[in-house]
Amino acid sequence: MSHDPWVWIAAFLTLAIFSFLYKDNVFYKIAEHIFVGVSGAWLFATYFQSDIVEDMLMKSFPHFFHRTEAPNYITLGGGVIGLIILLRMVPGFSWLSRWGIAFVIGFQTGLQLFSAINAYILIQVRAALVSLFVPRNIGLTIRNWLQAGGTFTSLSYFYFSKEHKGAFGVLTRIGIWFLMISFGAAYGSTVMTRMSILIGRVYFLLSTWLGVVRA
Amino acid sequence: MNFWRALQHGLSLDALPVATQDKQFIDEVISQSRKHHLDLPLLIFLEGLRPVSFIAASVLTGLEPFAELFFPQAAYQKFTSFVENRANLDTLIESLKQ
Repeated sequence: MSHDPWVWIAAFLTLAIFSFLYKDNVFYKIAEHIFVGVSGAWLFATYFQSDIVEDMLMKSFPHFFHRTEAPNYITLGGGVIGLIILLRMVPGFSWLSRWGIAFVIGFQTGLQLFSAINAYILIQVRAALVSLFVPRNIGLTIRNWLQAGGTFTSLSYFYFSKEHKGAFGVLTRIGIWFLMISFGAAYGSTVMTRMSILIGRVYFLLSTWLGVVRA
Repeated sequence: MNFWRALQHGLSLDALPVATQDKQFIDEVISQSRKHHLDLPLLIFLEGLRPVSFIAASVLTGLEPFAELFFPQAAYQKFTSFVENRANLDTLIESLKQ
């Protein structure tokens, strides 16, 4: 059995989370409140260190941190925008915070636009454009028909400008079958991932905490 | 509210009653779900969300300054408090199952 108090805390929190399987209880509530608090604190500490201290203060005032490089005052601009965002707590100036947030979102959108279009649209469209007849490969031909049919019928399900009746209704009904199968596959994948996490936690309890299973 | 009372409130197991406007929202979600035949995926999603509803609501609260740019503040806060109250999700799940 472990003598490390942190392992005991981790084991208690693991069991507290598992206790929800029985029913909602005080231990589960304690664990979820600790999770929210610790996550918030960890995020704050991490961003404070990396963004404010390392990226802004160390670069703007390197001599305060015993560094020899030349000051780069442009990084203070980020701090100014951060302060503008915080103005939402100052009555009368709260509208200014929208400018700061708009800058952050606009900047991020600009940065992400190309990679997002490439990853989520162009690659998907390219992958959907498959040959419907592959000579001497009946398996791949069937697969491509399924893929093209699934894409077309699933997309037609989300076309609401025409009533889902008649031949179009049949098409959308096939589309929902494809959607259900993909939801099922996604759910199965999620369950498998969670099972892997569960095995990890049980292994932690039996090995690191109780020591009944050798690492 | 002193510390011990706040702690009692935070760890209370008493389910808050479902508010009238939340009932209307639940009815709207169910009718849309029925209309688009998405009961099962929604049920699976809600069952998965149920244990982490408080954490999800906390994340939504954290994202509020950014979300306010896209959604009306009152509606967003109402949705956050809807997710935070597990009784709302239970009612929604039970209604979907019927």
